Amino acid sequence: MVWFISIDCILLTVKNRYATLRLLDTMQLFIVTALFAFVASYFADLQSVQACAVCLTGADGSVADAYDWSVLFLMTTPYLVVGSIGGGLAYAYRRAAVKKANDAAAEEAPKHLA
Amino acid sequence: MAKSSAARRLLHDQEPPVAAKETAFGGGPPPGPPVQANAPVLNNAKLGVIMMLGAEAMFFAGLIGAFIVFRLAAEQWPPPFQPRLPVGVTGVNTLILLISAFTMHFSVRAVRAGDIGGSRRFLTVTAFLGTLFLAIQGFEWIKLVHFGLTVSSSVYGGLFYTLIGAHGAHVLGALVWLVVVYGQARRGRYSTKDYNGLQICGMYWTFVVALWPVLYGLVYLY
Repeated sequence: MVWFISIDCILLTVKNRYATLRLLDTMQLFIVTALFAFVASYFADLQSVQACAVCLTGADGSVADAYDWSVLFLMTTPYLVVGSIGGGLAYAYRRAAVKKANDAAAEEAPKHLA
Repeated sequence: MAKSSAARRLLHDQEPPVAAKETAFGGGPPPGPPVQANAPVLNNAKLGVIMMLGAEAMFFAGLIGAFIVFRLAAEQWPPPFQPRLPVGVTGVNTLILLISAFTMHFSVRAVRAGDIGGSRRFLTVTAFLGTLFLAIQGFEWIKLVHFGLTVSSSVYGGLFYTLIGAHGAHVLGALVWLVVVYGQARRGRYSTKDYNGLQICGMYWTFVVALWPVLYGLVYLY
């Protein structure tokens, strides 16, 4: 329901950005629905929404720690990989720019000074 | 349009009037010298290998993540009634692989310095060290299987063969690549100015070598 209203809200904005009153109505409905969903989730059976493998099996202790460390490791690795590649590329481009500037300066220098 | 003008030519047997030759765009100063594009900082082959190495790093990160889950969750590691891994022999094997990274580096440096023969010799040494690494690994695997450590014997065995086997497959792939590069070097494919093939092979070899100490520390020592 919340997704439906938010998508409707976006579509409405794209279609007619000046339909301010209708947009306000939709946003009001969105806020009320979100609040209702939040309050309802508090009273709902929490067991049914535990999609995570660790939460579902009620794992704790060493198993939960193992999952935590694994998640942390897997979360960090993409940043390290992309950061390393980006850093390497930035270094290569910077080095090439410095070399090009040096070459240009050497070409412009008077012959008798070279 | 073209059809009608051809028909007219046939009927009247005369050439159509030729428009007077005019300079393009009504003249103007002569064009300047051609603009030379900047040479790319990284060529496509290197960029492609870098992307592939990123994907490979993520692949091994997934395997290592699985290992971390089982290793940290286990009460006892290695599990009871499972053979211990050969730490000493594999340590020596690690040294062999690390030396091969240096010989590969020397090979690239030699071709850059114009010593093509020296580059080929270093390639041969690198290929020999890689083969030696794989041979020792295979020998140890046979012994471990005889001792009862198989893929299906336990999670321990499954993880060991998956992680180390994936790395072994990569070393084998890198070795095949190395042999191809060696063949190209023999045919005079590489020179001081053009040695990209050798360089990207070196990048892949370095990745495979750099990965091994991580796996050795994690699987054998931890």
